[in-house]
Amino acid sequence: MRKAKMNTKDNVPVTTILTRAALIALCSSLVGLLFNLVPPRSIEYIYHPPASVTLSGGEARLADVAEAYDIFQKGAGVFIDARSRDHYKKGHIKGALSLPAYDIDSSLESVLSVLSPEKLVVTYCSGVECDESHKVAEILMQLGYQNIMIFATGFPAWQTAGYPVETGDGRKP
Amino acid sequence: MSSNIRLINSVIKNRYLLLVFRVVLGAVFIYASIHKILDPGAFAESIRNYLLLPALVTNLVAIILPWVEVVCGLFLVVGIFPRSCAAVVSALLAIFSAALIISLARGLDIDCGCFDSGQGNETIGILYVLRDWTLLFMSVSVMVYDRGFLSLRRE
Repeated sequence: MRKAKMNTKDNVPVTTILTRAALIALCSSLVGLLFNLVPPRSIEYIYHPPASVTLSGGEARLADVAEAYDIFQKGAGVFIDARSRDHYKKGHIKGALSLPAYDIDSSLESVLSVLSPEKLVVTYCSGVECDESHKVAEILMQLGYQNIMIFATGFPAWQTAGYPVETGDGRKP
Repeated sequence: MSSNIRLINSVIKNRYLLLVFRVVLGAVFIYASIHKILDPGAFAESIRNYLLLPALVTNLVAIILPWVEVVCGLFLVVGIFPRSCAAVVSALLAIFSAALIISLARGLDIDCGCFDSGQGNETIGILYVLRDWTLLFMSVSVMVYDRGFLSLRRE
């Protein structure tokens, strides 16, 4: 519809406009690719997620959504929801325990009673921008739990992938 | 009814209005690209937060996209192939608003990353979609009606 309008009202055909648009996009992309070679502002062309993060209690490995689901399916670890209790009630990874980073005393004891130092623990919160999963991982490491993973993309990624979620108080540790 | 449409038509085709659209769009895109060019890593993080692209390609997009924005922005302001640049900008705005709508529908509480590479003060909301659509209206108008008023290289 728009194309027909363009063709009738001027002499630059729409195909020329679109070809030029593609060329402009392509050339400026090349400028970007070249500019990224200049050191101070360059980043890796292909993103490799870091494998681990250093916390004050030790080194925590990072899990992406695929790894997290693998652990979930195999029952290879305990999931710990580090968000607030309200967020937990509205929806959390099926079977996850609630240990809110900003209200840790309320449930630390009951959560610790079901963890063992060898058992894998996976902490998560509401995505890469939140820090609760890191805080909880740090506290657990300081308490001597060294087998800890942080599922950094957290609940939004889990939910988006359509993996099992439950609401309410969840299972009591 | 048809006289109303004719009136709207003549307003949109007004060369002074199209000039304003062109320059405003260009300025917005130049401004939006600055932080992203200065801190591509933070912008890549912002893109990853949308959970729409495979993480592997997010750096590549963060390296390329700001340069497309700044080149089209400059070309729009000075009027070099304004309609072609408006076509690129329209495509970008359509993609941006789709990403916003999908993320809002999924209930993601993330930073827009539109202007400041995700410094945490631009949490997405419906106003961001409306802003995108306003800009999209402007860019489509330029793409369809611009006749090169005060342009260096008209088309």
